[in-house]
Parts: sequence; structure tokens; C-alpha cells
Amino acid sequence: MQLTLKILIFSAFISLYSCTSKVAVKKTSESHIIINQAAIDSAVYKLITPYKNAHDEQMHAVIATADEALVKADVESTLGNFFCDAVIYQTKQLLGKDSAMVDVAIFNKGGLRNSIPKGQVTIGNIFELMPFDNELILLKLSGENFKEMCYKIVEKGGIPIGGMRMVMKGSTPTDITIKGKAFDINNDYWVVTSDYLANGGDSYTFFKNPKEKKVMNVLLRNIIINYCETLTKNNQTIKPILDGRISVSK
Amino acid sequence: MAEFQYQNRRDFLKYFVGTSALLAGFPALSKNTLLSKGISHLTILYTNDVHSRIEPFPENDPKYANKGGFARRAAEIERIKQENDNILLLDAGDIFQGTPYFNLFGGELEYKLMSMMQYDATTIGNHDFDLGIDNITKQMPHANFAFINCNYNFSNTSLHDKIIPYKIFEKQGIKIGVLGYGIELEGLVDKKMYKETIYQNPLPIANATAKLLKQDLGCDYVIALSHLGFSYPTKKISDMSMAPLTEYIDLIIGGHSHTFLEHPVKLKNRANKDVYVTQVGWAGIWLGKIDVYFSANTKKIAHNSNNRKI
Repeated sequence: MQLTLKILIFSAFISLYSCTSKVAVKKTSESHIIINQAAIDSAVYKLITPYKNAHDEQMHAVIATADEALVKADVESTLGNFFCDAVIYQTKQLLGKDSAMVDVAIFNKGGLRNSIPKGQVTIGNIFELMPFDNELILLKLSGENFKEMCYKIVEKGGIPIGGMRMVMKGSTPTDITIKGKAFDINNDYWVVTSDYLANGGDSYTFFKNPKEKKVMNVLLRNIIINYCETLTKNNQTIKPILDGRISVSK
Repeated sequence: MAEFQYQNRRDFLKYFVGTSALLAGFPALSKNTLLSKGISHLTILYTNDVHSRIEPFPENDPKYANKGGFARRAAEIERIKQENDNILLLDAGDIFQGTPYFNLFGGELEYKLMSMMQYDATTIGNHDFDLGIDNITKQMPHANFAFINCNYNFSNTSLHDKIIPYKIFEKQGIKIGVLGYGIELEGLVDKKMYKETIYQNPLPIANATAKLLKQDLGCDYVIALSHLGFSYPTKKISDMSMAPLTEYIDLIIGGHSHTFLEHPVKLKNRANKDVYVTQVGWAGIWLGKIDVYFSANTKKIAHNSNNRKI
């Protein structure tokens, strides 16, 4: 059943992975066994193979090239910025003559499920970035609700946004600008997001009663795939962008 | 685990079987030798949040290049079985979602592979609802392991007769009770996905179930499969906040927060007895391994943990 098994034993090899918990856990002097070029179970591999072939045929198509890997980070991230900017661009394309109505894009860190690797980007990479069948939704928020949204961004320590800038000062959002203009609580704002968040997911309660709602009937994943294809068609690559759209006040 | 102090085997054996001379060499002793001394050896293997990671991460993955994969995990499990075939293989939920395998095949392959690997049980994680509760029901014929949860009321859903609150496994004369519980779904999962599933506070139900298992049904050891998450800065219930309020649970195998723990964390429960909380990150790049030794004579239990990095 087993093929070759090569194991490398490193005594006291402990810190290969970072421990995300803050609780100190006892280390052992017993060796951890790192499986390098590990054995694979042939029966399991055989079961996977036909699924893998069908999977690879659809998922291995290269749709873009990334100059660097795009990853998640705490306050502002290259992955979050790419995602939001891509969604704003594609939403404007979809809206055509109404494209100016789009103000802001906002998502949730948990919704971006994997990094984009440096180099060739496949359809499979985008499925892993956005595996959920979430749809694009446009919400017209009151200034009051928009303010609540900004507080949520601070509470969460920064989340993926586009079309706006803000500074997190303690528990307060400050210096909020939308498309370059200062936030005005008397204005309404059109926010692009996912149906998951619009339905109150991640406790985004300020999305519950928008002034207007536009259902676009398009999967967010397809939006990103289309954006990647557009970049490639225009001989452009995916570039990591950090422009300070969200920052922490010292 | 604190029992790692048994690096000194003589001390361990004094504590464990009341004699130090005969069992020098523990725990490298054969199963038969251990059994002849009235010691049963159970190996608990576990995963959580595997998230449809069928193949290893690709080599251009920025974080986990070439790690994980079912075929390698299966081979490692086979290897461990050659050392000790008295095994419980458990999962703490979120089997589904995360690679296109789930989008393309709906979770069928995940369940088939876990069945082939002889998983004993899992619990329901929030992402297992991602193609809707009826998709879980649809995929279940591909699974020959137990689905355990005691705090979701599924009465008005297609899962109503398919989820059990606990299961008892008998291994070398040792009775192990396994229960399971999941996280609050509202605000986390779209209601159109979980439909009429009702979340209930896991603490009282888990305590009552664990008490039933230990006191009434004679279990020697109780394991909770939890999809609550390791700990939160808020008052939200988690494995770390709940463990001290339990009484009859010996080990909590957690999930949801993708927390990598080199070793289980030992806490005291409300009866001032040990309860362990563990979790092995996500994506199946670690396989959790805990060896538990049960002494028939002294009624004592000893633990050892040694996770495998796949």
C-alpha cells in the first residue's frame, strides 16, 4: 500500500510554524518527525486521480501574472487592496453609464481565503481566494450607517476597503475621505460588498436596512476572474499596492 | 502535556503502575507487554479545518508550499497503525470549502477519502454548510463515519435523523465517549444555508452529555469534538473559556480558529481535574497525535502528544 517512506528526524525541531495562540504551550524534547518527500498512500492517490484530472483541466488555466505574491496583513494588505480595487473596476464596467454611483468597496478579511502567488495566476488560485459562491451587491447607505461601518473597520483592526481612506485613532475612525472628499454624515454612499455581508454576515448590522439595494446577479469570484483576464488582455500584470488607504494613528 | 515529565520512565511507572522495575523502556514496549501489565494504549489521531485540501499546497504557495495532502496523511496514518493499531481517528469539522475540489464536486471526494482512511467521527463546522445543509445530507452516503453534534437542533432539517449527539467506541476494553458541538451560526453563516438549524448554548448540553457518558454509560474517557474556536478577546464562548466550566470531558479537540498548538493546553475543570484543549491549525498540514495510556489497576490515565507535520 505504501510507496517509499523517507523521513528526516530533526531533534527539537519546533518552530517551523508560528503558533497563533498566545497561550504558552509546553514543548517536548521528543523529536518531531518532518515528513519530507513523504510516502503517499497509493489507494488514496488512486481515488483522487480522476477527480484531479477533471479539476486540473478546469483550474490550471493561467489568467494573469502577479509581480509579487499578494497576501493578507493586519491593517492594510496587498490582497485586500487588490480585491477591492478589482471589484470597484469591474462593478463600474457592469454599471456602464451609471458607473459614477459606485463609492466604496468593503469586504471581510475572513472572506479572502488564500494568497495570490507570485508569477502565473490560475483560475484555481482565484477559486481558492474566493471559494464562496457570494454575489455582488450594491447598497446605498445613510451617512449614519456609513459611520457605523467605519467604526466596525476600526473594531476589526482594519478590513479590506477601496474607494476610501481613513485613519484609525484608538477606537475612532478619523480623516475619512470617500473618492477624495471628506466624509459627510448628511450624504448617502453607495457601497459594493458581498451578499454574505449584506445579509448581516460577520455582524455587519449597518447593512441590514440600506436606503436602496442593487442585486447584480454575478458571483464575486467571476468578477475577479474577469478582472484578471482584462489585465492580461491589456498587457498588464497584478501589482502589489499599499497606498496607506487605511492606517493607524501614532 | 504535563505528562511529558515522564521522560524519566522510572518516575512515570511509579506513578502509573506503582512499580518501576518491570516496565523500564516504556513507552517503547510492545502492546502485548503493556497489556500484560494491565495498560491499554490508545492513539488518538485528529485533524480540524481540513477545508477540502485534497492535494498538498502547490509549490508556489507563499505560506505552506508542498505541505499537507490526503495521500500523504493516509500514508502517515498507515505507518502509525503499524506501531499501534488501537486508533481513534477524529475530525473537528470544516471538512468542506477552500479548494475548487469542493466547488466542483460538492464534498463527495472529501467524504470518500475520509471513509477510505477509516475516520471514526467528525462534527459539523460552519463551512460544512457552505453549499447548504441539504448538500451535507446529499453527500452523507459517501461517508462511513459518524457525524456527532449535541447542540444543534436539526429537527426541522434534512439532517434530523443523521446526526448523533455522542458515540461510544470500545478499544481494548476501554470505553471512549465522543461528543461534539458547534459554533453559533447566526451572523456567521447565511440562514439560507443552515435553514431551520437551531443553535443552543453548548455548555449545559455538553456537560449533560459528558456526564451521561461517564456516569451512566461507563466511559473511561470522554472526548469533545468542538468547532467553537480556541479563544476570543471577547466573551464569546470558546474552547479555552468553556473547558474550565466542564466536568466530565478529558480532551477537547477544537477547530474553527485555525490555531496551531504544538501540544495540548492543560486546564483544570470545575472539579479541579485535568482537561486538555488541542487543535492542529488547518488544511491537514499537521496530523494531531495523542497517545493515551490507561492503567486497569490504578485507574490512572497518562498522555503523550507528538503531532505529525505532513
